[in-house]
Amino acid sequence: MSDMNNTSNQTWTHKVMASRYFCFEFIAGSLLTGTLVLVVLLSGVLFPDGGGKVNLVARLTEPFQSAEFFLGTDPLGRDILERIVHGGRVSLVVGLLSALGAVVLGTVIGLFAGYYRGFLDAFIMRFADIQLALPFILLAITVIAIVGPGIDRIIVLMIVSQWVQYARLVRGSVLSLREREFVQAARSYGLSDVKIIFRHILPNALGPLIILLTLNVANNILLESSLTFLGLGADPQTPTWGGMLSEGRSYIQTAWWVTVFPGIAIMLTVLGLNLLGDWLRDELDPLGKTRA
Amino acid sequence: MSQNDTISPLLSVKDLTVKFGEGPREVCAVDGISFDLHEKKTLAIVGESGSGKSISSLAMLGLLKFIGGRVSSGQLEFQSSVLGETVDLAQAPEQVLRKIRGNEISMIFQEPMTSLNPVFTIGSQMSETISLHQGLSKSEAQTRALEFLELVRLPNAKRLLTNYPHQLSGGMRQRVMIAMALCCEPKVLIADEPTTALDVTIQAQILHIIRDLQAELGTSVIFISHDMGVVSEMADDVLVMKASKFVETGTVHQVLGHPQQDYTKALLAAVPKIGSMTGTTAPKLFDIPGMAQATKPAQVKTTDTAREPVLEVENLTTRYDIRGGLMNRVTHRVHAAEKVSFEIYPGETLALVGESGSGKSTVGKTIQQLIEPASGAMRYRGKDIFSLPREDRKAFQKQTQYVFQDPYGSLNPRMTVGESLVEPAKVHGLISTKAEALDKAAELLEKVELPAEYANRYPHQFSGGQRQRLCIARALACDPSLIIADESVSALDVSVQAQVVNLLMGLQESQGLSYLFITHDMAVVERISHRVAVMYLGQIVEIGTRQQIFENPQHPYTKRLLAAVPKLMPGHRPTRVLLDGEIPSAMRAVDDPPRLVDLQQVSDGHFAAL
Repeated sequence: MSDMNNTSNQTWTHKVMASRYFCFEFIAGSLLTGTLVLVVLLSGVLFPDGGGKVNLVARLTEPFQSAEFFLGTDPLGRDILERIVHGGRVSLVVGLLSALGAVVLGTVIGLFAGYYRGFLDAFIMRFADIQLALPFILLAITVIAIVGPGIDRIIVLMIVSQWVQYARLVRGSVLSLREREFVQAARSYGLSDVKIIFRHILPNALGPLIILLTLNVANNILLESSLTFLGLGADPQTPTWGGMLSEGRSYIQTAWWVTVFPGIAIMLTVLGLNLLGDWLRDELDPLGKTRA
Repeated sequence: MSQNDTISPLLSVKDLTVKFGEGPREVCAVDGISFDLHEKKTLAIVGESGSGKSISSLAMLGLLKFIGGRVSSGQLEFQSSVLGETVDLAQAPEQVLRKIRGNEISMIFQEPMTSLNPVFTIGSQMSETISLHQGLSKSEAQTRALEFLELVRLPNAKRLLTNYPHQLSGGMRQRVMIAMALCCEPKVLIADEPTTALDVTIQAQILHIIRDLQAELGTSVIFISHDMGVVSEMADDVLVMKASKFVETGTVHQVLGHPQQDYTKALLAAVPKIGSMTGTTAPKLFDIPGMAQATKPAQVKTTDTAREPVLEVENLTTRYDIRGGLMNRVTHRVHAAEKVSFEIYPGETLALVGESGSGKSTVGKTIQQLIEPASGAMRYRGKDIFSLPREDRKAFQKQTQYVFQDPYGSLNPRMTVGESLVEPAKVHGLISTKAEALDKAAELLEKVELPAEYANRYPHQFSGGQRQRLCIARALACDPSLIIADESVSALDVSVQAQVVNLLMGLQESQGLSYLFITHDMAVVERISHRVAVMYLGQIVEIGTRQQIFENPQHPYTKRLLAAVPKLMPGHRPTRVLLDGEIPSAMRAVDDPPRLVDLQQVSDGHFAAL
């Protein structure tokens, strides 16, 4: 009887050990990202007054001194922890949505352009070249001047300007994948083009895409801050991580905490996403499953 | 051997063991191999892929550490004349090895396309080696390079010095590699599958050159090959390896003529021997010792031309346009297939043979509708395919299936084998539910003699031969009547090749399949085919039954192709009329169409361009 227990115990631990989720990347990545997202989602509950309360008496309080202002305060005496938690809403939404939007748009365009080649491909790629040549800030100023500022507009603007890099990356992979014999084999037994593209080509082109996606999330969080700095983004009263970074810039020598803590928030987000991205890439590759 | 026993060997390998990796992941790649290489002799190391033959040769050059391996025991004693002493290549420090490598021992690699640096001219790559080892000035090195390019019979050697590798054909590049390897007049030349990537007629050329130069310069050669025909033509002594271990050694007459070990016997039995089928009309299975013997010959003995053909191809023409110039107009065309006509009858194998660039794959891909033809007609059981609407043409794709050359590339690495196998059946609506798919995958795996539980595995978990079986299984998914096998067995080891060819013949018998067997390998063709069509520069120059083509070839190209195949006759050194230069290109200017050949009847069903 004890023997049986022993073996079932072993198989249980074995199952956990052999599970695809039992690895550093997944556990650390999902813990980090999960915690951040949870805290940001609960920001209204944790800090009901929205992080905008000015308290000039407590301006530039050092961190770790009091429970009230655990991470210190900024030059207007606003609680940094509170602002980070609230700022995460805008930053995460902008960073994730813009990167996701761009990856979907760019991937679809890249897949079809690379697979069909011809006039459409040439046209799209020349258009992409023109877009790459336009400075983003210039484009942003022009568009915002016409349609007015706002978070939603920033996200659309980022998608419109960033699909190009995904399209180029995907198109490059597609050009080599479409000549591979398994794609030709699929054509030879009559699989439709759309199915070939999504079943055979896309899964083999995902690796570099995931990496670019995770890097782009971080870039877009910072990009949002520069737009806000120029007065093109969110309402300056709304806290965002990027915005906090640029506000704290002039105090970096006297009050490091104003910039360092939002910086750490961005870093942890990116780290978590990168770890998850790495895990996902390995998981999607059947060759990666044979690792010991 | 007897006269050599008194002289000490040039290179003596004793109990060589090579290992990769550390601790529990340690792999033994070469396990206790010993041999002697004597002056002016050729030693052939034969074995199938993964047998450790290439690893042994890298050990001799001290190159193992660059790929993560090490000599764990044994000696490699080399009599160096530069250093004037015997050096153990396994122990010697890097400076000593560098003096020997490329100077006294040099190597020719398998892939001529990738072993030259594409950004340097031939001249600068050659003189680099020469000035490094011989301390010659730049102009002296250039003169010497020129001398050796002429020695390997390259025409226009002077101009070649200023050419870049991409401007040369595969055969020419391999000759440049030989010239580079020989330009320091090494005592030992290691040739690692030097002709495997080349066409047969070019292979014959290269083998001839290596033999001539060996006689002229007195070089000893270690010739690594899996091709028994080539080995019998080149070697004095033979060493057989299997799975990192020594099997047997002896003179070429002993090993190939009277093999002692079962493995050698099996290896030799699996080699298709050209001419072994003289007098027989039907295809024949390979005898594989130790394998269940199929005694029955293939069902269709001779082609029954009275029956309705499965597929008729008439005047099929496929061209690729090459655009250029300012206006991006069509300036040249590759005439890949010009007015190709043939029929395939039920249960018959038609072999389409020719060398690279002859257009044989283009014909196959046009039939499979992977390429649009420029003109011509194709009838499947009397129904004209190209005139049908798009959807109906798609349905015809069910009737023909394509098996590609590269077993590693033709399965999607991200899909399980089961998913891949049933996809064609799904496309054509033969199965719809998951349970049906499982059954179908199991049934298909069984047909190609693989266990049904393999359906959940991924392609990288299979060997080359197994993957090719999987590709054949996928081709069977829609119960086709014609399978186009495009060089489907060319990338496989001989013993695996024999098994796959037997499998194809067995399936032909049980399913009544027809094959269009596209290949360059005449020896396999002789085994498997009922009829043969020979293609040269996009046109069929000769077509007839197997017996007619092999026993009474009429077209000069067919004769040359047959003569170029190395025969398994130990010590036989054929003297062939060597082609000077290369096979011409099928690319022509727009206003310069190729001359069409005129096929004339030689005998019943045998046509040749004369």
